[in-house]
Order: sequence, then structure tokens, then C-alpha cells
Amino acid sequence: MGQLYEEQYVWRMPVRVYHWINALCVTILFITGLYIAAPVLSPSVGEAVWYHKMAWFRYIHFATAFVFIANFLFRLYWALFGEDKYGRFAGFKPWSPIWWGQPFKDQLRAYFFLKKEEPNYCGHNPVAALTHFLFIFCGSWFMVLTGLAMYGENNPGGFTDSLFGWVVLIFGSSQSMHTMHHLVAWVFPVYLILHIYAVVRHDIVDRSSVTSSIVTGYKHKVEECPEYAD
Amino acid sequence: MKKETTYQELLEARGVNRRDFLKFCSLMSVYLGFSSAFVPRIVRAMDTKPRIPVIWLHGLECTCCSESFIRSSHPIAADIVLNMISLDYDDTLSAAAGHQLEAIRKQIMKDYKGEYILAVEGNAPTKDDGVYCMVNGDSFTNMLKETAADAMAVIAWGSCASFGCVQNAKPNPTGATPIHKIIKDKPIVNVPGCPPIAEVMSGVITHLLTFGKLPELDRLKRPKAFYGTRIHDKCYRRPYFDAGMFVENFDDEGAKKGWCLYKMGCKGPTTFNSCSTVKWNEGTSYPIQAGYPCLGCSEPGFWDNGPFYTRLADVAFLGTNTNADKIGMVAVGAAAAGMAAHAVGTAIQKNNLKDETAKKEEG
Amino acid sequence: MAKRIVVDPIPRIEGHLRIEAVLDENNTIQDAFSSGTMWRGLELILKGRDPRDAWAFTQRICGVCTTVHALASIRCVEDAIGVDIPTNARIIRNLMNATQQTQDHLIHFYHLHALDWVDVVSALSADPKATSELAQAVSPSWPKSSVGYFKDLKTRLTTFVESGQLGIFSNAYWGHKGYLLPPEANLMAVAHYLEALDFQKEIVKIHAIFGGKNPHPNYLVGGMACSIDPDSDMAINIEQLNKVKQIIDDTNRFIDQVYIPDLIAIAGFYKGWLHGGGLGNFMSYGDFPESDVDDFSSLLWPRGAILNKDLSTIHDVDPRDMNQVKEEVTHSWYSYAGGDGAGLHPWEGETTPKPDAVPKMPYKHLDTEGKYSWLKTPRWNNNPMEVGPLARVLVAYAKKVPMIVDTVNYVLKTLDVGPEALFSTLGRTAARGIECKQTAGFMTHYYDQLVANVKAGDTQVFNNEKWDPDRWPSDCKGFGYTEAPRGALGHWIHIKEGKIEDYQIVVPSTWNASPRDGNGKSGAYEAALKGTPMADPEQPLEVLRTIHSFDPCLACASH
Ligand code: HEM
Ligand code: HEM
Ligand code: NFV
Ligand code: SF4
Ligand code: SF4
Ligand code: F3S
Ligand SMILES: [Mg+2]
Repeated sequence: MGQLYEEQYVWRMPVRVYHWINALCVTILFITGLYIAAPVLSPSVGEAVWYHKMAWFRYIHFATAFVFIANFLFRLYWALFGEDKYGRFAGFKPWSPIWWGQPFKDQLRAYFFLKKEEPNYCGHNPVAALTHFLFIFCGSWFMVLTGLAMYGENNPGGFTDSLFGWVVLIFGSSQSMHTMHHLVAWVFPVYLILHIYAVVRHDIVDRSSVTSSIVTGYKHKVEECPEYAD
Repeated sequence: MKKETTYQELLEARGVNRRDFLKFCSLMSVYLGFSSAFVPRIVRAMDTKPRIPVIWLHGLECTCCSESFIRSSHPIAADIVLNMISLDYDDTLSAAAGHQLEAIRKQIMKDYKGEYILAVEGNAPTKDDGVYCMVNGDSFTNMLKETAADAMAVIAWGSCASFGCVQNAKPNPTGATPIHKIIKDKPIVNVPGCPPIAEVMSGVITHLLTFGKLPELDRLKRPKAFYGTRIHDKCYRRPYFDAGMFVENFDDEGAKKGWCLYKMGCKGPTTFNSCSTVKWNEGTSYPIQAGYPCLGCSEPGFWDNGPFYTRLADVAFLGTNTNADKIGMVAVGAAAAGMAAHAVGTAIQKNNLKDETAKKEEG
Repeated sequence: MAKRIVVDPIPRIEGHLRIEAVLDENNTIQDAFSSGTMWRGLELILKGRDPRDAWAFTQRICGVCTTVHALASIRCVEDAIGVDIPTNARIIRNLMNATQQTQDHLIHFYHLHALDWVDVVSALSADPKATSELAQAVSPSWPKSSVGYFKDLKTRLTTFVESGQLGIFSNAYWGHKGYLLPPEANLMAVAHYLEALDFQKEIVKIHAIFGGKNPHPNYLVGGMACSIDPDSDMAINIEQLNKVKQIIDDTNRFIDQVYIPDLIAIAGFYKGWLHGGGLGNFMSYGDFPESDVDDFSSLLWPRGAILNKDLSTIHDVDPRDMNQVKEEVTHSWYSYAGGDGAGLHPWEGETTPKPDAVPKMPYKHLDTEGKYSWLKTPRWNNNPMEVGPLARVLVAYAKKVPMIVDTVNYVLKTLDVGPEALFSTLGRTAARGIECKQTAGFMTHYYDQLVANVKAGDTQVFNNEKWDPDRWPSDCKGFGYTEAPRGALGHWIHIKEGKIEDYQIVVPSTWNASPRDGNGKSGAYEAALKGTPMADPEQPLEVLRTIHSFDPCLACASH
């Protein structure tokens, strides 16, 4: 329950590095993914090694995917075992009724202009935490599992397919799995809009330098920390 | 009634001598993808076994799988039907009719309990007691269950029997249900395709006869020997895919040059089948070779993964047919609009707060 | 005392058909009921889908006449959206259609119908030498006719029968006194049963070349996708065309030297069995357009209807006329919103199944007073019509299409029977053969057309103008037709905002196998069975003969 008015070191280096690698990967994955689905550049003719456009886009998608996965796994490790008060998931218990209590409601009401005084948090506010969970945590798992299952399909019975091939059974067919991978990909740009808006807005409303915090690690003028974040 | 004959005896009777027979066996081993070390085993299998009785049932279907089967070129269908198996019951080919035909089915089930193969083409309607497919006054669903009870194994021919196919496409008016969801206590081989390739069908049968066991199956119960890899991974147009050289419109320059059909909706990248290797009609061609995008006809639910000429499938969403990109763009637009509105709200609220504070300070 | 026999399942057809026949004390069929016992709901499944995909769905109505629904469907969609197809596409489609007709008829004659006339067991007592002589007399230039060939076949057959595992030949009516062929003719027919089984698979390679595969070759709204380029190794070039040509020549040879001689030889023994004439009303939509599909004057198979066997008057048929073609459901397991009594034109058609009208299973008999089939009842100007090879041959004969007149006269003369013999089971079977010879000829004709057109520099196979649904009218209707192997086939579509609003299909076997209409008038199957004497009601060989002469396709009929 910290009451802070001064500069506070919130985002430690691992979280910041994770964040920017993730942001970069997601951007690349989204763009290359859409290209894979609809290769729009005009056809090229020539020596394969130079002109394998589709192959290159797919290669970049897959290479980035593995960086994305490693980064994501690292963040999970850090959330569970990292000695980082704000970077941990410890307080995040959406399955418990307590979690949906006053702080969450207050924040939601504030977002809907039903409450004038907006709470202010050092780490994530509870609504932001839930959004991260749904969009980033669930979204990433979804993309990773379906992505790896698709990736394994070029060598059935091989390593990737043995580990992740079962995923296709959930969707019924490879094509349906592609469709869902493609559909859920759109979660990321939607998230980005909400996310950047929220960040910039908080900065303006609270003057807490949230925006720069993901680069520098420091936030200012924080009044209250929620129960769950401890 | 029970003097049974081996393949070798039958082939000899047909004027096939030992040398031709051995040649046939080694061809078969090549075809099935085994080393020549297997030839003696095939010879032995064909030499000693009596013909396995097969009951071939037809449910909700188009009979195309039978039509495909009779196109088999190695071995030819007549050889399979007359010399390799004993096709004792099959609506499409049997000579007997009505109760005489039904009597054969009952007889085989009794005489060869646990030893006959049940081949099923089409599937069973499960809605409304199964009135959408009836044989001899009873439902096909009952007939299927009854005949499966004492079968050694079940072969589900085609996408209908394997996965449901066209009658099971939305809204599936008859409750058409694939065989493996009805028969749960028997070994089942799914041989999908709409229809399956003739030589794949005969391959499944001869695999069983030759090696004395069902072929190894994948997660969807398909023989790995024929459904092991995607069409795309062995398609002769694949270099054009990798190079990004696509047909942009049917019959354009790229089409004439045989470029990749991906942008015309080709489902080869998500379809496990032998079209690009075994090919169709004795290796004559396959859809992609003739310029048509693959429809994915051997994949579960392919009818509802349309439209066929776009890469991206439609998804049913809030009662409309739309696709992932449209949904995504609407979601992005809605998010942007929502945030813009929220920004306005925030500005108004801030203004009000300022006014209030100013008033308080004044007052 | 009237006695009711049931034949269900009927083998050697497509789909599930049940015949209930009422016999008088002399075992002559007094009345008959034809029931289709399967339904899949394709017309409902099509709703809301992309019209350009419809061909693939409708093609899966039937794998035996595997291209005809696709063809009717693309013609129907093209009609609605208003797109003209390139000449090459028209030629290729005609060629594929002729290929289909030829192969389908061949399969029907040998593998679905022959066992109604040919006694396999009697073939065991044939003398190979006499058989060889017979074969050489019937078909002098067909090579497979030596004594050794038939001797070998006979040995194989004997071994097969002695194995005790009779397979598809089990429990049939061998020895029935309705079988009239001498053992040698039976042995020759068995030989050709096997040869035809082996050969039919060659014919359809033409579909693989232009449509990628058979069964179920691909089609395309706006043309075809099989690009032609004589200077490309990745498109249809001379090597592919040579293959097509070779197949066409072999096919013509097989039809001329095996099918037609067999047909005449077998018919010669049965020309006294002239039952099964039936309705006497015949209808053909016509097919094989030499220019636009809407230019009926260019159809090689003419359009028209004949009533009461009157060949002197050919009635005009217009499937777009809201009053001509209508479907009723009085005796079908469906209901209409406005009452089951009235017929509906397919553009106003409804498909609402009524499963609770089906008797509780297992049942012994259907409720033939009420609803008794999954087929609707199509009628033309309130008349039940027979469609199919006989209808087409009669319409063409009456319209004096030269090649048909010649072939019909040749067959009649060879058999030494008059034209009235055509109105029978045997006439239907003969018409199929006559027609098959003609479609085999069409294959050559279209090959020549295609080559000439390409030679003249036209290689286009697809018209892209209306590919994009944005360029379609927002609300439009279309009609597509073809003459399928079993007869007149029509597809009717209503497209709204680029999606299928309604789709109705009226199939040849629906015409022929339909239950009776509200006026109690029977369809072609039921009518044809009436009056047929049965030698042994336990062995319904006569029923099979007449029913098979229509080449039933019940998956088509109910869809
Ligand atoms: C695809 C792009 C992006 C993704 C997926 C993304 C994702 C995330 C995630 C998951 C967090 C929570 C950090 C953690 O707990 O690990 C976060 C925090 C943050 N991000 Fe991003 N981000 C993206 C782009 C950006 C951009 C472009 C900015 C800068 C304008 C930004 C600014 C921030 C800030 C300021 C925080 C801390 C906010 C807080 O207090 O919750 N992000 N982001
Ligand atoms: C933010 C994360 C990701 C986004 C936005 C994304 C986006 C996309 C999109 C839009 C497609 C096209 C799908 C189609 O229509 O067929 C695609 C394809 C694919 N993605 Fe991802 N993806 C992501 C993560 C991953 C991951 C983690 C993997 C793991 C290996 C992966 C592997 C694949 C594969 C194998 C394909 C299919 C490529 C092909 O069909 O040639 N993706 N991705
Ligand atoms: N009846 C019918 Fe078909 C044909 N010929 C279709 O239109 O067989 Ni399946
Ligand atoms: S799988 Fe396709 S081809 Fe086979 S019966 Fe079903 S619809 Fe016909
Ligand atoms: S044509 Fe289809 S299967 Fe072949 S490479 Fe292109 S996308 Fe793959
Ligand atoms: S449509 Fe079917 S036939 Fe093969 S190429 Fe595609 S799986
Ligand atoms: Mg209909």
C-alpha cells in the first residue's frame, strides 16, 4: 500500500527489454502473417535464391515467432520467479472473487466516467492487468500453440508435430486452425490501440510519466497501490 | 460352399503364371513404398490366404467413392473384386436384390463373425430417428450398427464416411454423422477424399491383404502411406509459391505458365492427400495440374471452409458470413473510434473537474 | 387376391430405392409405388453460400453422373449474373459432357443392367469355340475373340464359382426362366462385362486433363481454368491433346465394336419381351449447344416434349415459364407453406422436410395412400413425363435429326421390329446405346472443334469480367440445364447481394421415379411397371429389368 509522490523505479530492465522485443516481434509477425495470407507484392521472376519472396516472408515469420516465443517464455519465468514487485503475476487472481472487488470496480467505473477520482497505481491497474491477461497472455499462448502446430505440419511425425500436432484436433482441420490463427492475430492491433491510448491518457491525466516509464523504468506521482499488487 | 481358394490359385486359374505373379507382387511392393525385401512376404500372403469377405454399405452419399474405386488401375478393380476379396454385399454392384440381398449380409455376418471387413461409403443421418436414409424398412443407422458389431475392422470410404462431407455441411439438415462417431469399438480406417483416389482405395485394401494388418494411421485415423503429407509440400508448383509467383486471375499469363494457385484459393497448404504424388486416373493429372485450386476435399469440414476461391475462409460471426480480416478491421476501427470517443469524454471530464476546482477555490 | 411385394434394396443403381408392387392372381403387376428412401438436403445447405462454389456442392449430389450437376450449376449461375463464356470453354464443357454420357451409359449397360439379361452361371456351360464364333460374327474386328480367350475366361469363371465365394454374384436369380440367352452369348457378355470395367476408366481421363480428376472434375463459373497454350509446357499443349484424341478414338472403337454389337445381339433374344413402356410422355431440355446455351436452335440434342406417344407433334418446353415445370409434394415427405396440394415452379420452390410423415421403422409397407417418398413430384403442364435416353432419342427422331434417324432405323431394321418397339423397357435400353454411339461421335466432333479454334489463335478459356461479385446485379435469378445421362436436369437459382438466396434442383430421376401427383397420376417408373407379368414374385427379375432400364439415380433424385 505505497503512497508515493516521488520518482519510483517500476519497470526493471528485464521487463522493459521483454516489452520492446515483444512489441517488435508482434509487429513483424502481424505484417508477415498478413502477407502470408495475401501475398500482394507483384510477382518476381528470376533466380530462386534472390526472389523467393514468399519463402522469405514465411521465414521471417517463423524466425520472429521463435524469438517471440523465447521472449514470452522468459516473461513468464520472470513473472513467476523474478524478484520484481511490479513485474510479478502474484496478485493477479481473476478466478478469485476477491480480485473482482473494489479496486477493479473503481478502476472500471473511472474508465466509464462514473467515478471522478481516478485511482493511480505503481504497476498495472487491475483493468490493465486483465486486458494484458486476455490479449497478451491468452493471445500469445493461442498464437504460439496454433503457430507451432501449423509449423509442424510440413513434417508430420517430426519433433514439432509430435509435440503440438494435437492442437489441430481442437479445430477439426488444418484450414480451420489457419483461420483462427489469422483471426486471433487481429487481437494484437486492437490491443495496441487500447494500450497506447490508455498509456498516453494516463500520462496526461495523472502526469505520471507512464509513457516514458517503459523506456526509463521510472514513474512519478503515484498515490496508491492496490491490494493485489503486493 | 466353403472350399476357399488362395490368390495364387485364382491367379493361376486366370492364366496368370508364377512369373507374372511374382512380377505383380514386386510391382505392388514398389507401389506401396516397401523395399524389395518385402516381395517374398507379399507372395506368401497372396499364396495362402482365402478371400476376405467384404460387406460394402451405402449410406448418405453420392456413390462417387465406388465410382472412383472402379477406376483403379493397379491393381484393377476387377482383380480386387473377383480375386482378392470377396465382395459379398454391395448395393451398387451386387446381382441379388431385396430380401435375397439382405440374406447375404446376414449370412456373412454369421459365417464370418469377426472375420469380415465392413466398408462404408457415405454416412448416417442421426436426426429424426434416421428417417433420411432407410434400407428395407429400417434405418441405415441401425443397419450400420448391426453390421459393424461382428466386423473385424471398418473402412470408412471417402470424406462422407470419414468426416461427414457435403450433407454434414451447415446446417446439416439430416444430422449426417461420420462413421467413427457412431462405431466406437472397432478399428476404423478413414480414407478421406471426395472421392478418394482410386489407387489409394485399392492400396488400402491390398495393404491389409498383403501385410495382414491395417496400415498405420495418423491422428485422424488416416493411413500415413497416403495422407502423410500435405499436397502443398510435394506440389510441382511449389517453387512458384516460394518465389511468390502467383496466378492472379484464372487463365492469365501466370496460369499459362503454371504458377502457384495459392491466391486463387488453393487449399493444398492445408490438405493431406496423395493428389500431387499418386495423382488421379492412373497418374493423368490432379486438380492443380489442370489449373484449379485444391478445394481441400479430403479435409474435415472442407465445405464450411469456403468460399473456395479465396485463401481466407469465411467465418460465421453474429449470424453473418464474414472473414477474419473483415472482423479484424472492424475491431480495429471500433477500438480506434472507442478510444477517440473516450478521449473526448476525458477532455470534458477534465474540464468539468477544472471548473469545479476553480469554483471551490473561488468559493 | 391382390398381393403386395417389396423390393428394397434395389441393387445396381445409385442411392436408395424401394419398389412396392401390387400383383393380381396371375402375378401381373397391377399397381406399383416407387419410393426414394434417402435425402440429404442439398437445397438447404446451399443457402447463403457463394454462387461460384455451388457447382462443387451440387456435383456431390451424384458421383455416377459426376459432372452434370456441376455443368447445370455453372450455367445457372452464369445465366443469373450474365456472363458469356469463351468458345473454348463451351467446347471443352461439351466434350466433358459427351465423355460423361458415353462412360455412364457404358457402365450402365454392362455393370448395372446386363445381369438382368445375362445369366452368369449359364456361361459356365458355354462352348468356348462356339463362343468365339459368335463373338467373331457379332463383332468381326474386335481382337479379343479367340477360342483360347474364351476358354481361359471360362476356366477362371469356373474356379471362381467353385471357390464357393460368389461375391457380387451371390444369391441372384440364375436359372430364372426369364433368362433367354444361350450359354455362349452369356459367356461373351461376361467377357465384355470385364473388358468394359477395365476400359471405362480410360474414357474419363479426358476429365482429368480438363478438370483435374474424375470422379468429380472441376468446373468454373465464367469458363474453365485449364489454360491452353500450345507453346507452354505447363498448360494444355499438343501432348495433352494427343492423349485426348487417343482416348476418343479408343472409345469410339469400343462403342462400335463391343457395346453396339452386344446390345443388338442381346436385344435380338429379348425382342419378344416388350413390357415396360409406361407413360408415353417424353421430355427433353436439349443439350450440346453449338453457340450460346440460350440459342436452342443450336442444340445438337433438340428440346421438346411428346405426349401420348404422338411423334407428329413436338411441344415447346420452356423451363423458365412459371406455369410449365412445377413440383408437388402431395405424396412426398415434405410440406409447402401454402398447402401441399399446389405445385410450385422451382423459382418459388420450397424444401421443408416432414420427417414425422415417415412410418415408424421398421415398417413392412409404406403408407402409399399418403406420403411415401423423399422425392418431390415434378410435372410439366400437369403431365408426368419420362426423361432420359428414350425421350431424347424420340424427340430427336420426331424432329428428324439425321444421325439419330439413321441409327434408330438401323437398329430397328437389324432387330426386325417396328418403331412401336421403342416404347418399352428394351426400347429404353436400346435408346441408351444409340445415344451412346452418338455421344462418342460428339467427342470426336468437339475435339476437332477445339483444335480448329486453337489453331485459329483463340486460346482463351475463361472470362474474368464478372468474376467479382461486385459486378453482379444485387438481385438476380438464373436457370441452368443439361441433358444428363438419365435425362433433363434443371437448376434454378436466386442470388441476392452476391449470395445464394434460394436454389432448387429438379433432376431426371425425380421426373422418372417420382411418387404420384395430387391427381393420382403415376410417374414413369410406376407407370412402366404396371401390366408386367412376373414369372416368380419371389424373384423380381422383371421389376429389376424395367426399373434398371431407366438407370435410376436416387441420390440425384432426392438430393
Ligand atoms: C505491439 C506492441 C505492444 C505490445 C504487444 C505491448 C505490450 C505491453 C505489455 C504486455 C505490457 C505490460 C508489461 C509487462 O507487465 O510485462 C506493456 C506495458 C507498457 N507498454 Fe506496451 N506494448 C506495445 C507497444 C507499446 C508502445 C508503442 C508503447 C509506447 C507508446 C508502449 C508503452 C507501454 C507502457 C508505457 C507500458 C507500461 C504501462 C503500464 O503501466 O501498464 N507499449 N505493453
Ligand atoms: C503475434 C503473433 C502472431 C501473429 C500476429 C501471426 C499472424 C499470422 C497470420 C495472419 C498468418 C496467416 C494465416 C493464414 O491465413 O493462413 C500466420 C501464419 C502462420 N503463422 Fe503466425 N502469427 C503469430 C505468431 C506465430 C507463431 C508464434 C508461430 C509459431 C511458429 C506462427 C506460425 C505461423 C505459421 C506456421 C503460419 C502458416 C504459414 C503458411 O501457411 O505458410 N505464427 N501467422
Ligand atoms: N438422375 C440423375 Fe443424375 C444423372 N444422369 C442427374 O442429374 O445420376 Ni446420379
Ligand atoms: S465422399 Fe464425396 S465423393 Fe465420396 S460419397 Fe461422399 S460426396 Fe461422394
Ligand atoms: S498450387 Fe496450391 S498446393 Fe501447389 S504450391 Fe501453390 S498453394 Fe501449394
Ligand atoms: S480438391 Fe481434392 S482431389 Fe486433391 S487436389 Fe484437392 S484434395
Ligand atoms: Mg429439388
